[in-house]
Amino acid sequence: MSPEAPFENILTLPKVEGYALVSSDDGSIIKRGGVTPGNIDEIVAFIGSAAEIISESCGVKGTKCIKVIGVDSVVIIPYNKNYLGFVITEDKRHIETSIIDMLSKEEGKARLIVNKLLKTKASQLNILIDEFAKGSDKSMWQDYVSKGLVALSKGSKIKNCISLEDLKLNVSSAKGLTPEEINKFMKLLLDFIVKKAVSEFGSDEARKRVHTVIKKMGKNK
Amino acid sequence: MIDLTDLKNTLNVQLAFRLNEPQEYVGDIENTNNVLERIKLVLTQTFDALDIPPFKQFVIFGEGRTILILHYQNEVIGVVFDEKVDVEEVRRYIYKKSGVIKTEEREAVPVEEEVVLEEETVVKEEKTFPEKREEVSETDKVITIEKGILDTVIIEKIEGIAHKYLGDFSLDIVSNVIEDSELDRERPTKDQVLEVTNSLFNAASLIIGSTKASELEEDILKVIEEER
Repeated sequence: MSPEAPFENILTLPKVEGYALVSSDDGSIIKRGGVTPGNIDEIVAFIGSAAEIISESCGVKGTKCIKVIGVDSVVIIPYNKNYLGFVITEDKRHIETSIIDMLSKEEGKARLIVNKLLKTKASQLNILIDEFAKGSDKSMWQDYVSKGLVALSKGSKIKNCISLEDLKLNVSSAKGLTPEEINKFMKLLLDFIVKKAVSEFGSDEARKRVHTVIKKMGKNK
Repeated sequence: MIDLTDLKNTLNVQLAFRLNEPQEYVGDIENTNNVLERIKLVLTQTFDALDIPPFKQFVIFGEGRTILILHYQNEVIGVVFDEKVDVEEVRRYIYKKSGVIKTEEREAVPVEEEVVLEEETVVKEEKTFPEKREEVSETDKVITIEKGILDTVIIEKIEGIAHKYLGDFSLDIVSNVIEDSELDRERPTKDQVLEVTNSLFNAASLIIGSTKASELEEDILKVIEEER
């Protein structure tokens, strides 16, 4: 499941009052919200791990969800290689299905937002590249940006989502990417391109062209 | 004690096992004895490490199959079955067979619903609850009775039991639990009272521990049966 959905929205479901995203490696809390017991990290990690062993022992593969009813009642979903635990106040019939369905919907919304972000950032950089390439050696820019893309995306999931063709950045679905990853990568690429512009035109001219791009972007809004 | 063979055959489950003594299983799975020991160990260690009372239900929804482990009274029963089978049905069946829920009819009938019972069904009911004998005449082939509604005195009895275990806090706790539930104080149904009992068990476990809370729960369940 990915990208990360806004888990707070799932707390609007009846009888769901808190959540914790817990690392399956070391049991540490990655994120939590709503009302949760103090040891929610241990509850989610221990039960998640116990369920894995029980499933394996019984030859049941692919745990989709775990529900435990007791003093602390929880629904735990394996989530991006971690455990996402929801605290429930009562064992409402099929509560786990409601949580999974809502999580899926929230992920869908989050995916749309992430895709839009990637497209917007790429189109902004395209305007910048266009501006810098004006009256300049286009093949040099093609070669430079292309090398930058390869170097900066090495080992990152964004590598498969972005390419350069005819001095234009093309993006595909931002599958598995978070907004943070996209923003970080695009900032690195922007700095990389601006650095070259400064060395090509001098800082004054580079700044002037950046301002032109900012104006264009303002009109595009 | 639930009959695992009966459980397996009736629900057509892949595996049914008992983790408490006498540990046993019915069904096909490799190295079942080792598997049961492993599951028992994992559950014991997990809940010991968490320092919380054992679970009542532990359900794992896998791809194609579901594992349900129930802990009630002194029994820990596990079942592995196809995902198409409703967990609630399996849970209800085990509880019913174990006496946690006495009859399916009483659980399933909604509030105020009138149920027409054929003579054969009535006779079956009589065997379990002979005190109802006077309701069935020899000549009656069909009778109509109202099901599911309990006497309002049940609430007072629950409050009394809660006070016995929880002391002065009991009234607040019972009030909160009832407020959070859908219980109609004027016309309490068995389903609603069982829901309150379950919530009360959870709340009481935090204060007096699960063993005492289980005793409280059992006392309430007895009273519910007496009220029928």
